[in-house]
Amino acid sequence: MPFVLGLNHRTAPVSLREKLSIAPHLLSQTLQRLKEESKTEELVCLSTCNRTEIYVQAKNRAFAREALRDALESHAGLPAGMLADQASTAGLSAHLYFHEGEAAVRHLFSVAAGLDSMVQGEHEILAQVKQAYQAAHEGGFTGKLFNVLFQRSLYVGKRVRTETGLGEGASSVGSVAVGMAERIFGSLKDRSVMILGAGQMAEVTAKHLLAQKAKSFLVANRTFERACELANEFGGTAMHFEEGLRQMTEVDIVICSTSAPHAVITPAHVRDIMAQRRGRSLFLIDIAMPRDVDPSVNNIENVYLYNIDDLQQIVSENQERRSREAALAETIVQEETREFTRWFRAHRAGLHQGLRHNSSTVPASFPAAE
Amino acid sequence: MLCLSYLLLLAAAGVGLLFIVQERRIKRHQSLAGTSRLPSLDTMELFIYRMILTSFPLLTVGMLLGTHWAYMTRGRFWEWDSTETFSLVTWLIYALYLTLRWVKGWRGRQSTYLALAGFGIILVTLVALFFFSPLHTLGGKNI
Repeated sequence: MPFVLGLNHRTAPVSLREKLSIAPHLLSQTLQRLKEESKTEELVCLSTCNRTEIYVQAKNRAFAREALRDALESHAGLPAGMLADQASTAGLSAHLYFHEGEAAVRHLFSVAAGLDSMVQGEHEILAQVKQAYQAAHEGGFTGKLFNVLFQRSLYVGKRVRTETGLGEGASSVGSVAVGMAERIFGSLKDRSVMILGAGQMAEVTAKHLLAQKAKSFLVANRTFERACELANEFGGTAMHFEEGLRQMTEVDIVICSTSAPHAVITPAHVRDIMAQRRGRSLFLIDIAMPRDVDPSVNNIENVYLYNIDDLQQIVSENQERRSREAALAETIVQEETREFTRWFRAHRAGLHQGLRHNSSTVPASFPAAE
Repeated sequence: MLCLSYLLLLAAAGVGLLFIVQERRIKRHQSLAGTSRLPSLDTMELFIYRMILTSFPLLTVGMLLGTHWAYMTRGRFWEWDSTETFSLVTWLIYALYLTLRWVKGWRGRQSTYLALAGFGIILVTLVALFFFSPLHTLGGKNI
């Protein structure tokens, strides 16, 4: 069975990861050197900004492991023995992990599924695994075992993507607000955003919305100086509060965060505005405490009012959902790991057995690329 | 002519149903994490409007041809037969949809309900055509 030696964003700081990362154009010569130094049979090296991992199949595992560690050290420009010597070098070897056999397979499958990513469920990693495998395959560093293993990992990644909602659903108030805005308007590129009252939370939410390249940005505040400050920071237009209320006929998204002790936006005002907007949707985000917008405004046609609790509620629903989906993805990874181990044992015993592809069976000659 | 307009209106009604569901979820502050594949409300609304805008002239011409055909074969333009009546109601509903949108800026949920009602009447017309209409049969030009 294979093993994997590497480090990732959880075990190593970026200062160490960048030393160990391998540029794509140097990959094949690095693989060549690693292969010679560690006397391995099959070798794939996965190097991204969040991880550097070497997957290895070798007869003499203990030797290969030591040799690879030395090679990593020299690659990082560290003095020999530094990663290994825990006591003298502030625990650098603690940054490396080592998985063997079934655990290594499970690790690769979790990586491909996006379970091991910094942002769980991101899709980039699957393409990176594919590139790492292709580079190794083209250089002739893979054999039967790794061809099956890595093609299988790509399949597992795809399966997790189609069968679970891993990584779906925004996880902060700001990104939920952006998500809702996109559900209402589509792209936010030709939409305009206004902040009424310039509180701290408004700033955070506005940042999220403006990251989507909204067309224009207005800031209206009772103290004009503060409005100017915020407008300058984000490249928007500052105006007086009353002018802001009038501008509601033009903008699409309004973030309210005044410190007024009572509702400043009444149903009557919004009805009046909507009549002038000729039915164009209006998205109101009320993050003021106490609330700025009368809750019954939400009953007006084409007006969508969210207050801080509504957004928070969605955030926590999404978090629950995320952990449910992650558990589901783990189950798939476990299942596929068992299936691969079963195949491997049969393969080693000289039996020609197929790998089950979900419910169907892949012929024993599955790795056509050999 | 009418067939084509009915197909476009079917598309409008299908998207209309999705719109109503999605609009309600957003209005009620529900998480949309499971429904990520639906287009935005604005996109769906615009689609419905364009479908109706395209099909309305077809609907109108289809009905004019129908009355012309009725005059040629039976000597009368209009006989208040069930198919004719329901077709007229359909036409009036979609005319109302467009008028309200242009004049009063009716958009979103209300106007989508109107579009759905229009398609409901089309279904009734077709049922009536099958079972009740003494003057129209499915082989006729009026379809």
